[in-house]
Amino acid sequence: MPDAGKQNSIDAAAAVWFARMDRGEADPDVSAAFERWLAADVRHQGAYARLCAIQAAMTEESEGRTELAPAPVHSRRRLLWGGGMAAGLAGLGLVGVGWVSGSGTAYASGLGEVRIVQLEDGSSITLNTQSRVRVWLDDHRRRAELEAGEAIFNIAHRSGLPFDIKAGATQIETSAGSVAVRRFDEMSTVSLLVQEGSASIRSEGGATRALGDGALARTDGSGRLDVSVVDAEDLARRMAWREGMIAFEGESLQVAVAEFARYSAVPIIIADPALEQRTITGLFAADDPAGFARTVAMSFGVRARINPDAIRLG
Amino acid sequence: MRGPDPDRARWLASQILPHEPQLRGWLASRVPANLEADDVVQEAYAILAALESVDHIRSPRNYLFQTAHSLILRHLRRNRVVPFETVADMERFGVTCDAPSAEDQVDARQRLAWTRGLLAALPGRCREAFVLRTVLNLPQKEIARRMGLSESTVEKHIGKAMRRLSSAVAHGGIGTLHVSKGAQAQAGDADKLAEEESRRARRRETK
Repeated sequence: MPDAGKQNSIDAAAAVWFARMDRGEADPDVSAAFERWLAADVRHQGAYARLCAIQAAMTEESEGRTELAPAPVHSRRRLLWGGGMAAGLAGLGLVGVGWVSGSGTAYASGLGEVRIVQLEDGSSITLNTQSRVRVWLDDHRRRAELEAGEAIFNIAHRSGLPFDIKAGATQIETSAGSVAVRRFDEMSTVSLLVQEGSASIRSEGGATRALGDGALARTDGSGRLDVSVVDAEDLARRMAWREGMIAFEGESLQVAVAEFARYSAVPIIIADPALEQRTITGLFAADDPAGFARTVAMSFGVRARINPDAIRLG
Repeated sequence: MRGPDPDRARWLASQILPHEPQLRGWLASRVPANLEADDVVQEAYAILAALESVDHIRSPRNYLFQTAHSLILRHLRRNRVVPFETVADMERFGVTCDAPSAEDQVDARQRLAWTRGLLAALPGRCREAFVLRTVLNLPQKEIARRMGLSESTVEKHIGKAMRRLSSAVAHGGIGTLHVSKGAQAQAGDADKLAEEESRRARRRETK
């Protein structure tokens, strides 16, 4: 968020009125006070109308791209077992371990697609290109498995109910916050980036770390766990995909091309091997590999041949 | 008399809101003494929200700029200041004619990215409450129950979210990567705005 400095007082008052009227209650004194405030100055009307527009904008975009998770598992359980039996099993500590696995609910995104899934507990998951998560939610456990790709988990706080995320053999737990998890082509490599909040990570080898804001953890098949802290700019670069962008800062062309391949079916082929290790810095639209190729070609003084089925550099 | 009806709110959302950052940039150097850009923006929204119909408006962006311009002229006249601006000045920003221009085309994907960036930048509980309100369309009372909060706390979260979104819309940008440069540009002259845009475009090229 940009630093707005002191916000205009009419806009600030309009936000307070907006939230109050949004409660939907018909308290006549409050309604009357609101109407008086509106009538007092044309700018009040404008500020309020503007907020209505902002809400409409957020609703519209959310509706277009978000889907709601189906009812949580526990309601199905009641149908099958009856309340009493479920409570009995809970006492045995069996419920929430084996039984609740079932098959969960899977969400998947297509090539080049960014998809937001809203969960019933107030959490949401933003899937990046070609990604798949499976989710289990009930009164005793909240769990997701990142089966492929990359996702940001915005976890709502639920007292006594942490959110577990599994990615391959790596386990992540958070009680509230925003974490980005990615599985790499070398399937046992997993990265975890804590955008906000805190999380703990446990690698395949059993190494465990607690992480806070800006922490980046990476683990591979060997079980080792590397942790570092990223600055705000680096964090923004790593999250740029939410806005359909890819940001590079000194990555090799080879790595950059591999990144583009995640989002587009049109491969970029580096014809001249000497170009592979040249470095790339910049911000690009993920769905425009041709634009990227043209920019690279211009920068490196090489040719870009752009065809519908492939792009060649060099 | 309350807020705009849902259709008008949606029209403002899709046709006017995306142009606000640029309008503010334009206003920054044109607003006379004793008049704030915020005042002009607010009154412009009031005018647009209260119009009988918007069906006749072929270029909402131009209409917005013209409305703002009229408000400035009205202010100058009231203060007995002779308006110094010429038509050429307005033409520079391409807002004199009624026909839609390329700038009217707000790329739908960019808009989506923009709103997503705004949502993502809200702080945790605040975002949670706001998302439950706008996406699941739960009433505040129900959100309070689900989040284990008092209704007045939920009301404060919604208010905070709207305040922050309001600020973010005013200062433009689609996420932390663009925002600082864009916000600086809005504060300056329109010429600086254009210069900043081309500098930003050059910066996107690889080194």
